[in-house]
Order: sequence, then structure tokens, then C-alpha cells
Amino acid sequence: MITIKKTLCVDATAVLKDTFGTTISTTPIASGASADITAPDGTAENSDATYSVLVPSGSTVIMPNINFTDSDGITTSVPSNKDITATLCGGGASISTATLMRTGATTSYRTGDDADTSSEGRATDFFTLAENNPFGNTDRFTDELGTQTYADDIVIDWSTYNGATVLGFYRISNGVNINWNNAIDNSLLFTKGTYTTGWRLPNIKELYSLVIMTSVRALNYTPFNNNSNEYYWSSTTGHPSTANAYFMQNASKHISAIGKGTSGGYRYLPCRTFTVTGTVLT
Amino acid sequence: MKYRFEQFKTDIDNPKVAVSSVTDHMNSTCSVGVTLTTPDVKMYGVTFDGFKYDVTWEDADIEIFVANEMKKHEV
Repeated sequence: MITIKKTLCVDATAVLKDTFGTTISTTPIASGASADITAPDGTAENSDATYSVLVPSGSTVIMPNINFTDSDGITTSVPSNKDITATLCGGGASISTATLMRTGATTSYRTGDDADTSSEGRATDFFTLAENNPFGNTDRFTDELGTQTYADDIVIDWSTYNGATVLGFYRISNGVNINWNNAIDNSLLFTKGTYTTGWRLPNIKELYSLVIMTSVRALNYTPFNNNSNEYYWSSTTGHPSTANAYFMQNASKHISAIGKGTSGGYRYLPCRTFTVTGTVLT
Repeated sequence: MKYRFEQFKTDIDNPKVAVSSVTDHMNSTCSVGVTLTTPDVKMYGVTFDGFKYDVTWEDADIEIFVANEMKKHEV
């Protein structure tokens, strides 16, 4: 006699877990059958979810580089998750050198006066910035190319640099016996080299920022070398009499206001705000 | 030598003394501006009033006057 023993087979269950042991899916598999189990894709994204990409299980995703552009307009790529170390632009230029400059005073006449406290000032001296200009030097005055040649007679005053623009002057005295309105008109029409627009008459503070207090003449220093006995108009109207405008006397360094129609001995120095891109001034 | 002036908080050590200006007040008196430069190149300016002359004055007279005035400020 033959006895047949019947064996009952039960279905299996396939459990898919990730590497942390978390169950991702549970799939019943019939006895004797086979089944494919597809592991779901992962997602890689950045912290603000502006970048997101699906990553197939078991594969590697290459994260895109990070691009950053400095004030020189130069773009640099670095791998993601890398620290970025910023360095000064343009050969060591600071972002901004704008500051009230020193007067040039070096002799102290009492404790607490200009020369005594100048070590606490914001620049090295009248001619020297506390930090580099975009050309990588501490010269307060340069030409538009960063040298002190002044071939075009344009003087850039880096003490006015704000990280984007800087004030420059045409160093040659313009106009002889010119009144205020004509000084303004002529300044607006002034052109030099490629700088054909944007010239204007400086306001009284811009003009007076050029004055050195340790010379008999206000502008008698390089690069202006102006030893004349002349008056220079500013664009600033006087107060309280608005019929007057402020001027600076080169011979005495004085500021005063006089009728706008006055012309005898009056001249002007045009100025212009230059846009600084790296070491290019436009 | 050390000098003390009331307008300066610190004493002035071993300065080089130089006359920087002589202002003639046209009443037979002058004021003499003097610059004191220390070895570490700090410069101090002082003015000595009261230099007197009869008809005119010479540089040597000014130097003597300044030397005497400086003695008054020795520490």
C-alpha cells in the first residue's frame, strides 16, 4: 500500500528594506511563483528645494557646481558642499575705501588737535589710503589707469570710492574770469578722451576735499601742482543769499560765497563720477 | 632733555628745535613759531610771544630768545 503524504505550501512575503532597516514595501509572492520587486528612486535636493533630482536606487548622483561671481565680474565654480574663501578683488582692493581724508596736518599744537589724533583717523595720511584701491595700491590719487602719470590730466580720488563709483577731476584750471553759470555750463559740456559725458562742476564739499591744509595754496601738491592765486567755483548755491554761490580761494584755502555773476579771477575744475568695474573706469 | 607744555598731555623728549615762523607785530614785538620734532618723528608746534627788538632783529636774537623760552619748559 502506498501512502501519499500531502504537503501544503504557503505563500511567501518579500520585504524590501533600506539600509536603515526601514520597510519600504511588502510584496506577497505566491508559492512557486517569482516576482520582481522594484526599489523606489531616491531624491537629492538642495536646502531650499530649488534643485531636485531623482536618484535610482544604488546609483550615484553628481551634485552641480556652485558658481559665484565677484565684483570684478569673474565667475568661479566650486564643487557643492565646499567652503568658499573670499579674497579681495583687483589685486587686493577693498570693497570700499570711501572715507573722510586727513588734512595733511602733522604738527600738533595741543593734545587732541588734528595732528595729535590723526593716528586714530581713517586713512594713513592725506595721500595714502588705509586700504588698497582697485589697482592694488594705497595711492589716494591716481590717473584712470591706476598710475600717477596723469597723461590725460584726469585725477581719480580713491578716497571717494564706494565700491562701485569714484570721483575724478580734470586737474587743469579751466576758464579765465568766468561766472558761476558759465562754469556750470562749461563743466557739463566738458569732454576728455573717451570720457565724453558726465562731467560737472563739483559741489563745495567735493572741491574742498582736495584742499591740503599744510600748504599755503590749497591745491599746491602733486598731482594738481596749482600755485595760482585763483578762485574756484563750486556748484553749491550760497545761503542765505541764493544769489551767491560758494567758491574756494586757492591762495588762502578759504571758502566763501559771492554773487553768481562775479567772474574776475574765477575758474573751475570739472569733476566726474566714474563707474569702476575691476580696474576699468567708465 | 624733556620739556612740558600745558597744551600737551605728554612731555616732549629730546626734541629737535626749529624756528618755523617769526611774526612781526610791527610794534617792536614778534611771535616766534617753533616746531619740536622728537626722535620718533612726532612734531609739536609751540608759539613764543614777547620777543622784543628796538630797530630790527637778527636770526641770532631769535635763537637766543627761543633757547631761553625753552628753558622755562624744561622738566
